[in-house]
Amino acid sequence: MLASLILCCFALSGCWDYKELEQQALLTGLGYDVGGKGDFLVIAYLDEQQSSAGDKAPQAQKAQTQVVVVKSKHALESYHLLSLQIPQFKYVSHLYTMVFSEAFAKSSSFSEIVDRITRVGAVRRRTSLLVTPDHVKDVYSQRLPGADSTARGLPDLVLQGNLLQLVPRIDLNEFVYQSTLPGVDAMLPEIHVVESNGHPVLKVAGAAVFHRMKMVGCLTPEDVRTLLWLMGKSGHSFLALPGFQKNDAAFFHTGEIHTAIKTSVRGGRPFADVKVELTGTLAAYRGEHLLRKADIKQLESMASRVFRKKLIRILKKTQAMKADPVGFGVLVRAQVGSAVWRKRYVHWSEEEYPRMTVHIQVKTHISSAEATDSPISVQQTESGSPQS
Amino acid sequence: MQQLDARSAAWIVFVVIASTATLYLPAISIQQAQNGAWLSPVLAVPFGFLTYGLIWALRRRHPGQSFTAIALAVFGPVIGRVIVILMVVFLWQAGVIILRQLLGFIKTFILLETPILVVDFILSLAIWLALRYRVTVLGKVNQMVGFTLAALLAVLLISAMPDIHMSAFTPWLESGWKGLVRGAIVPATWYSQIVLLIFVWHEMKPDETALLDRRIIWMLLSTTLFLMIVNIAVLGVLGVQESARSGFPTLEIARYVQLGAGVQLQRLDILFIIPWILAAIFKIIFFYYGACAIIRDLLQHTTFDAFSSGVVFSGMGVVLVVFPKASITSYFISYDWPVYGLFFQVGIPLLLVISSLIRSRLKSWLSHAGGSS
Repeated sequence: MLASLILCCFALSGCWDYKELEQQALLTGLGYDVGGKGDFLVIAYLDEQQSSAGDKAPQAQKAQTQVVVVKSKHALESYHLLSLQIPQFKYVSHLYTMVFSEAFAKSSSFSEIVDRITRVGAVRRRTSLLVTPDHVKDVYSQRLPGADSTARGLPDLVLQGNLLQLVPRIDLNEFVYQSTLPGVDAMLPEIHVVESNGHPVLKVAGAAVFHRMKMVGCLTPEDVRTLLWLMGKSGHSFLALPGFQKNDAAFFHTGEIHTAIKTSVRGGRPFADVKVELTGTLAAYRGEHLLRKADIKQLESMASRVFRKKLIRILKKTQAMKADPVGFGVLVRAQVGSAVWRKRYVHWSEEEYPRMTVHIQVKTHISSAEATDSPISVQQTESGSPQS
Repeated sequence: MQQLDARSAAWIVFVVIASTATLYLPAISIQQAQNGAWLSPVLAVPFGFLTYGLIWALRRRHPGQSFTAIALAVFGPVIGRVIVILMVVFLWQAGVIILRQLLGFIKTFILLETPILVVDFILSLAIWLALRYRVTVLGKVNQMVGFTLAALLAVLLISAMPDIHMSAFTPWLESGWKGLVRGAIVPATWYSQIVLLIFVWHEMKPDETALLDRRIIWMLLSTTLFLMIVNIAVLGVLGVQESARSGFPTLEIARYVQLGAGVQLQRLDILFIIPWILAAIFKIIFFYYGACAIIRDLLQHTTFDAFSSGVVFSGMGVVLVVFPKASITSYFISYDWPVYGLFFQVGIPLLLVISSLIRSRLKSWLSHAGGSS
């Protein structure tokens, strides 16, 4: 019993590790940017705890948020300099987001920082990483509606963007996994400060592509959506299709997507066969005549053609970027074995992926064909008011 | 008199193997076997069966006798004493190494600013107090600790399943069979630590002997499956490079786990940390128990209360002098420990069995020769 009681001491903070609430600063967001003279800037988004000791009102215990900026010649040093400006003990176990400017993500310091933060045991591996073409300070200085702090709200914003297939959803662990796995290159969601009704607001859209932990290019939201489809990740998104005549338009709502990628190596050259099966519904149609089953078939082949074109476009774009975010290299490596890979394909993204030939087959199925057999017809009455 | 039952003995096997292995095995095995590391426990478990087979053979040949009595009977009073004293030193310093690993873990993750000497003293005090109890009490409490560790870690690992990447396991056996064998060497030494059963053997219920064999075999197989799942989760979530680089990859998994989408429960790792610390303490206790039991039998005392404090507190003093940094123990375990550990854990029981066989054959041959002459 006595031994158990003594062991319970380890569940306590002890005499030396005890910190009062007002001595704690919760680091909920961290940003890295490059300053005007090439200096590195580290931006810390802090939730500073205030104790209610001595106060009777319960609301006296609240968190205050502040943004601290530190400048240094070296990225690693800049984080340590934070300690000189923040007197409280910094806790990184509540780090929700890390935002990097594109300039910083393109520098070699980016990999140093990622390496460093994954070595700090207490850092959350669920932390969301984002890249911005704007200044990091501008991102953290915006308020997110409904969120108690910007740093805490950003992961939810990314989640929403991912549901609409505008951004990839990737956390620190996923990013490190993809960056260290041979044959695949990682992506991070992009965040922008845009004008809306004369006010700056935050918007997640697009992705930054990395190779060997260095940013090599950007993808538009449309590219990201196509890539997510190619990776077989379904979501709630629409594909705009041209109709049968000039003013026609159709909107295909994607449902389930099944992608099968098969790679082969012939004469040392990689090939890939991509088969995509797309199932969805016709969300909207604007045209001169009512849709029949034959028209649906035509729309299906139209959707397949449009989608195939998009796939070819994104593959060419990533090949030009010399980055393989889909992970064709992982499949090739599994096929040839690690010894051959190390010998021949070690520079996969730079040398092999750009010259890889990809055959794409797309099959689209519009599942709500029955509904379009008797569509809602809107007729003009004599008085001119619409009547269904 | 209360005696140790078969279930408690089986849980001693689990705690002795799995306590350190859950935290240290993935990184050590993955460094060598890369993505084939999840198979390392399968290659290492034969050492567990071999060690158990050896102590089973000793039990059959010398029923009801302690390790010291067997060594003295087989090797004679002089060599027998040298062997058992060497065994005392081995068991004591094995306990010291685990203590150093535990201190390093607590200092790195829980009590960052508390002086290490304070933690060392508190742990040693707890171990010393625990050693004052009989092995039946220790066995029962250990059973609870072992079950808690297994159950909570299983929950965490199951929760980590959605985050597992299948791409981490391709191509099949990245570093080949040689790498796989290299990755199984260190876990083999952990499996052979079930040699500790030899020191509690004569305090077991005699009517549960047959049951014990079955339970030990099942426990060895269950522990292997458990360690395989730990390795699969670590490899699948972190990947080969990150697992090999991380000092405590299992802890990283425990931290990464999310119970359901959008559930923001933080510091779930405490569900792993607390039972792991308790299990590691029990492992130290069993090593020190072995050392104390030998001294007790050698000095022909009935209890070891008189010298358990010497064993425990000398370890407390030595641990920080010999291993000033926890990283030294990691290097020691990866490179020096396998040969050294296997010599004492497998080599000495093997020597005892062989010598005992030769001795009895020689005796029967001599009596036969004497009778015929």
